[in-house]
Amino acid sequence: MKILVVESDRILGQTTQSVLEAQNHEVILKRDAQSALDILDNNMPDIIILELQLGLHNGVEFLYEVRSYPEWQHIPVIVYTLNARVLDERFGKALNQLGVAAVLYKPHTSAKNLTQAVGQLIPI
Amino acid sequence: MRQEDQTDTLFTALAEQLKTPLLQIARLSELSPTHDMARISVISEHALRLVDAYTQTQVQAQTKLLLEPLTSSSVLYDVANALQPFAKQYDYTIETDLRGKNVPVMAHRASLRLMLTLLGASIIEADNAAGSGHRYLILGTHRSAKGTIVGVFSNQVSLSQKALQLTRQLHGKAAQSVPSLGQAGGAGLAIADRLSEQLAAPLRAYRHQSLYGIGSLLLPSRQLQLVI
Repeated sequence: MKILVVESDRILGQTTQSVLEAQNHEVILKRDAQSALDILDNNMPDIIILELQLGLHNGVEFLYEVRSYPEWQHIPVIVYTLNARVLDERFGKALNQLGVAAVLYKPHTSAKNLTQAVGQLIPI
Repeated sequence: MRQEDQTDTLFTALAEQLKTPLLQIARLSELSPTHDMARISVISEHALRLVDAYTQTQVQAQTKLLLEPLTSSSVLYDVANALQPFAKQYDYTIETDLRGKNVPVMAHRASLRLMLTLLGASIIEADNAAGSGHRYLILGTHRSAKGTIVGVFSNQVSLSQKALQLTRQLHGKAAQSVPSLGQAGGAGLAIADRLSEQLAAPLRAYRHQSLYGIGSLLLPSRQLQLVI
């Protein structure tokens, strides 16, 4: 699977990349929303893993942007974030309305949990 | 802005900032296969949980928690899983003990889970500081006349009602707010206490069979009781 990881923190981005590559996924790592959108234009991924706390445009704006184009609407998005707002049920529901496949709060999610969440999105 | 508010705001910003390096340490060490790195992973996960719990109490102080009907046994199962790696560092065994019919209660799952996890870790730290010989901790629930008591219990009296009151009195005034916790600052217990207030289920000392511990009284969910 080709996975686009949008992660503002360099070290966390690299660890996420290592974890996914160890599972034989191809990973494209981007640090901000704009460069992630550029990638979608040229190299469409099978899954997007998204941190909401990004520089400049935040992750929610990125999500709105992605969902506004018909050709990108089907791409499963996993929100994998340090933003504690995702623990609020109301915010979680709002993300679900944007077609988010899973919401993972980083402090509660081990590397193993992340690969399991990705595994659940792989078609059998 | 009052001095106290400014301090809280500063600490919240500090805690938010600390989450990133702690998470980096936790994930980097999780990926390393060595035994020592696995221990570093558990230690940093615990530090991250503490810092994260503090920021959660700050966020929740500004909103009203949405309580939902849930079974205490499902929460205790999650807490046991979360505490297991930390308890193993201290050679502790975690067990769950469910007494009586498992009646649904009204609570906020994430807050209750976090509160009990922090309580469990505090009791392990307290017992460790006391150098006690026993090596088990019971996550228990039983019914009382007013509702369901959910808590963390052991056969030690290290975290008694008196210790809890002392923590509330000394919190913010002393570096070691829980004398029985040794060099640990007691922040876990203080944060658990704040979470319990937000759940409208204040912490207090309870007995569970012959064991001592601290827990909360949760009110039953009348709605779900009708269907279970």
